[in-house]
Amino acid sequence: MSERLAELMRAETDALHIPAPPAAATYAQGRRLRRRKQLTTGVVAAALVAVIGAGTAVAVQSYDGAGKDRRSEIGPATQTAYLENPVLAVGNTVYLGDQTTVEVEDDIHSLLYTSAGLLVRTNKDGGASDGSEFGPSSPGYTLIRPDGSTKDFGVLTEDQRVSSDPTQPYLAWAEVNGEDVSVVLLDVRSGDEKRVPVPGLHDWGDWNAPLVSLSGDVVYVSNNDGVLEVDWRTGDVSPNEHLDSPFSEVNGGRYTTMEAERSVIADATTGELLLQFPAAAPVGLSPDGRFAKYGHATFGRPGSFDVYDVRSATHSSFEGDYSNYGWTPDGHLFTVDQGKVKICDAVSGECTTGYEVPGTEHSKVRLGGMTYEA
Amino acid sequence: MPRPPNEADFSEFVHASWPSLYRTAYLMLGEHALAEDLVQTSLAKTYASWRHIRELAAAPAYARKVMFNTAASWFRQRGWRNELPTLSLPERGYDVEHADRPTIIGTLRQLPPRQRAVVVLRYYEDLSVADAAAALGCTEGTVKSQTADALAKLRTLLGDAVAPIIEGHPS
Repeated sequence: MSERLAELMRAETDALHIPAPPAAATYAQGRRLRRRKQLTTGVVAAALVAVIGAGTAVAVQSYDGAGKDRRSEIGPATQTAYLENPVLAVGNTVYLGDQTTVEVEDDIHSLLYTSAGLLVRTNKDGGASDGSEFGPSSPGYTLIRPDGSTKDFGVLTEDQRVSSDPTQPYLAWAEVNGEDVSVVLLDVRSGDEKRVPVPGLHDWGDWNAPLVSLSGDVVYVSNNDGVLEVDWRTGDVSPNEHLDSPFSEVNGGRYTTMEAERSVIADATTGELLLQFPAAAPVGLSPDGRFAKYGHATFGRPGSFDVYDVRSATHSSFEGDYSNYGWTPDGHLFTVDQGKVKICDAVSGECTTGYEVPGTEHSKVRLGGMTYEA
Repeated sequence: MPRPPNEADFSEFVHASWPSLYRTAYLMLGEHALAEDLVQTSLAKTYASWRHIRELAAAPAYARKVMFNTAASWFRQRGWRNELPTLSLPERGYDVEHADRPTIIGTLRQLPPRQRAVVVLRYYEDLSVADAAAALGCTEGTVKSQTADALAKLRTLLGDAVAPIIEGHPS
């Protein structure tokens, strides 16, 4: 009789539509795990890049702009190009991967990395979510996949803090309904939403909703009383004793704080101090939390800044303005210099000049990995 | 002579192993997004240990073991219950439930996660009691009792012809 049970389960799985493997996200997650293992075992890092290009093309589920299903072929090389290359917007043109360009209709406010592609936050009316003087408005969102195909989500949130993680296919935000607050996770692959109730939040000051930051399985939710950790997978909610409220983004499980006489990087879960800087100055983590820009230029050294490897505490110095450098999803620095993209290795500090980007003199430029909104 | 797998092999391995792992994960978890997360996490963990795998032929079993261990660790987390505390919208674009056959996945969803996993490992993956216990990090006695409890419920839901009666565990 057990054969009948097995037969039913086989019939069930035979009828399943199996989605294509998220190869790029798997590699990204694998690389993080491997780095973590190396951190504890001292094994020397290995090159990964050549591997991904060696794979066969992957059929993935994707959608056109109207949300209608279609099939497209996104090879591992295309997905790797998305992870390792500059992502930026000049005016309404988005550049990503190996010079793929996509035109977006509305004003672009910020670029958010997910494992499924780039999520562009826009505003139809020119909007205020970038802090301009035009008053509150509701931002829209468009997913641009590594191959340049798009999916429009329209307006999802009010003008409020949203968060993504380059290793996860989700956009997270807090939703307020009367007295009830939930964390919402939008799966940008399918458009499905998950809601996790978060009790005990009452006062988030002048913001439309509590502030959130997504890092792995955890959404950190902040209000004026403190910070809560929400495990979106299990629904567990617990207080976080380490993060200040309101706090900056948590990237790769790490956060930064600027104190009276120093700036620090610490582990968001344990509070362990990972790196401290001698003077209080802005610190910006890479999307995966491995590297950090230290903007000491604020205090007397204009025109240069340092980039630290958080694990080893070694650093490289960079010429230019701290705030003019973005991060690729995998932790390379990049900027636009004299109309051309320049990409730099965060460890060695070596930079190479890439393709030309027209229109930077008279159009608004947005760099991936940068925060432009409150 | 078998050679250790190299980095290029992993790319092919991901694509080759994904469907099979996904099917098992879906039966264990009953939800596409969770199944995808589980398999992705398991393959990422496999990648992190890739250099320590002696030969390519051993990789599928290793990845499977990682997936079972990962699922077991999820089940041990506080708050992971039969009904997940998150509310999900209906999934789109995947399988279609056929009205003319028993909906085994719907029935499995009514079991607690560990019972569901035991049923899948024993009767879909065809693991022995000892192997299922090793995969889930529990005792053989736990596997036996979970299996008995699960089958009792399945018999209620699907009928005696579907769920086997285990000797020594009448219900």
